[in-house]
Amino acid sequence: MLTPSRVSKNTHVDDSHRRQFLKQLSAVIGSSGIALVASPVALTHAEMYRKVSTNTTKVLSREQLALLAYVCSTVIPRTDTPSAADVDCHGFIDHQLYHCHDKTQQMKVKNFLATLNEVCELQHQMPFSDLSETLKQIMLEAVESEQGFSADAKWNFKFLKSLIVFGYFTSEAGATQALSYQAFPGGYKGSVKVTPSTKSWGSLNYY
Amino acid sequence: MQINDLFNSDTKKQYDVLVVGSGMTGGWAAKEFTERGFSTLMIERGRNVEHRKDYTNENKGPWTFPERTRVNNLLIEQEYAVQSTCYAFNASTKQFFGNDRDLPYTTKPDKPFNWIRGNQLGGKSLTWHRQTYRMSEYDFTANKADGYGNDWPIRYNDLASWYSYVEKHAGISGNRDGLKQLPDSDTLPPFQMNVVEHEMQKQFAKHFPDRPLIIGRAAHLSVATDYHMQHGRVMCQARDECQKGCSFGAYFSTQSSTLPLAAATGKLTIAVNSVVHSVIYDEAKNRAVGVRVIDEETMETREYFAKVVFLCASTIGTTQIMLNSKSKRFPNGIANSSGVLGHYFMDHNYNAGASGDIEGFDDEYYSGRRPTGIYVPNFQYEPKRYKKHYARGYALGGSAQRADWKGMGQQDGIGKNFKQKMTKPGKWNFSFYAQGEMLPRFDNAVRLHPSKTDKWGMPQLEFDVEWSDNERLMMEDCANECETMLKKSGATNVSSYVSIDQKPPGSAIHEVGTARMGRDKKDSILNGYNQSHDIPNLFVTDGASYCSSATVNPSLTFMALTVRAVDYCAREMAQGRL
Repeated sequence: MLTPSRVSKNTHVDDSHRRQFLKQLSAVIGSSGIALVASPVALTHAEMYRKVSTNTTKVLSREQLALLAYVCSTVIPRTDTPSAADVDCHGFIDHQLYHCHDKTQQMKVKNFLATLNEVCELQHQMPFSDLSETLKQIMLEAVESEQGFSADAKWNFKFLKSLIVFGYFTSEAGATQALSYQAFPGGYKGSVKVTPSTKSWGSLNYY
Repeated sequence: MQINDLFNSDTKKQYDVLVVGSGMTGGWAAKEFTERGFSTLMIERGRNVEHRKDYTNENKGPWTFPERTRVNNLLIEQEYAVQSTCYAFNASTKQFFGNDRDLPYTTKPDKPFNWIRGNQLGGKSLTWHRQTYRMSEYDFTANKADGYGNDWPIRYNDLASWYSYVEKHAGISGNRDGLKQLPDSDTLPPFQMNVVEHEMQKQFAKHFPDRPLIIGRAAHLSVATDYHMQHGRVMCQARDECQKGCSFGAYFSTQSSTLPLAAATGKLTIAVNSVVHSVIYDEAKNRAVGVRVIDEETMETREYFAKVVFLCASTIGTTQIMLNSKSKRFPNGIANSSGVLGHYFMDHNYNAGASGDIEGFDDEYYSGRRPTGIYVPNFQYEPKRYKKHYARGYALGGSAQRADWKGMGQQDGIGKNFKQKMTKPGKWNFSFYAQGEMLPRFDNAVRLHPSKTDKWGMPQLEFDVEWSDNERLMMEDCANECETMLKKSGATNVSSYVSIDQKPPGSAIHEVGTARMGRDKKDSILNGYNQSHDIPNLFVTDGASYCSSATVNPSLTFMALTVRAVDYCAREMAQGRL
């Protein structure tokens, strides 16, 4: 992961910095205190995501949820890190729509999913889920460029997409694998050189 | 001292001092009195919060919250409609915000007000934004110079040494910038600027030499000295998740900084779950002799007694207690012979800003979540620098950062390329937000509601507060100025906003001014030592004592005023005058 010299050097500084810090910390609050704040989850590599059961739904029907899973994995597909569907973004969105959004926003998602299948049937005589990966991507790109889709459909999708992005990058795999997660940054550095392996920070102060 | 003794308050005893409130100022008052040997009872209306142990959401990733740190609609509607307007309110911090259902208040029609609460041991010192600036000589003379409000009875030099005193203990990161409009603090090393902020600093020096752009000063241990480590505090890890509580004690709070020292003296007692109903006044002796308390849980009443009463219950909390302390001599609130109690309410006006993209610097990033930003001190700090169409000025907070999924998620794109884009640092963006001064006006007031009470039987407060044209004009000008400054400094896609119709007073959580100091007892509540003009053993050292809001974040000045008042009071007690 850490290739060029500049990054390695910074990392070396980080390690000694961290050792010194942990020494200071144990001096003032004791090792039990450290255990309290430095939880294993935070200090080791995050565990791989375990798929959540989606037997019960809250806002969407089982069919809508299944369709949404395909939309999720098309927007954020599996690469060297999990896809949005791999981390149950669709299940999260159903949950989040119920708890944190109003009826109008819930309808945006439902309406979009209905429209998506209608247009797929019209253009390809099959539902979105049966399209090839390439066609799935082309269809969602068409939504954003309003080709065969209305402006309403586009904005409903933009809302859904914001939920997919939020759901993915606040998931454990999204925050810690797709992005770089620093539970304990060890201080602030105003200049860090970007390398080909640099990822955005997944650890934020507010989400 | 045993922990049981610390919380074993005694209604029969006469303490030397009662300190009402345990936040920013209550913690300091308790520390200073107990270290001088005075038996002190600190009274807190909320529950105990134990350092470290009760920071239950510390360091939890967003995925550990069912709604990923958002708070569900039903809970917001029923219990947190007001509190949720605070930027720091979320599922990981809500335990340190009040519950609106239990803490009702009223507002005048068309005059909304946001009252953000922190009713627990440590108060809002647990959840504050931690930016710390001294007020300047210009701030203390502003009312006199332009005629708005009454003259502060103190000047910068009265407070300078006390600023140093609290800064050395609290630990303030920052530079010594040598600016007369923003006196230097006794600082620890500053946090770094990133490269774009350095660039903007250069641009400002070139185009706006009267508007220095500096790194923010914050109550964080950028370095932990031996002194701080003796108190169990270590250096800031730049997590910037402070409002969950910090087991490193890296930012100043009652729990991390003042309480441990006060407790160590053996002179401190704490009464939690104790809602102060009123100050008990002995008319014959003209003394505050104690406070009447309603138990937060059992609703039982009890009384505590002392030689001196310090009100440190937050600007609004203190004012509510004073208004509710009625007697024959003070039918409209204790120590209110002037009639100004509750009036001259001020907050800060955070209702304008601008941002823009900064081209280039693609190979530069940063590491860590810095608990401060950049800062442009008020550059309209004396009448000759005012704009013609409104009085006083504003400071600017801000920062440069690279876009991430939060900002880029709305962009077009589907699939691998989109995912790749979201996971790489995006364009640099630089943003400013206003920290405007609010003028002291008699009409902006809080009163007791004539009939409504809360569940403890306390009369509810009624807010009669609104922005005036001066604040409105200032924000409009600020938005324009910010646009101009960003464009001149090379930013592109610059946009600005004014939010004064969306964010009512109270939103900055910098409320001050309702029991103001003054030289003349006919138009003020307190003298220059935060001592009541009317009742010599009653002090108010929180923000209620302010004469003008200035533009700087107020907590550091609250702290300095408190330690100075304690020093004065202790000397008066030693000489038998109190």
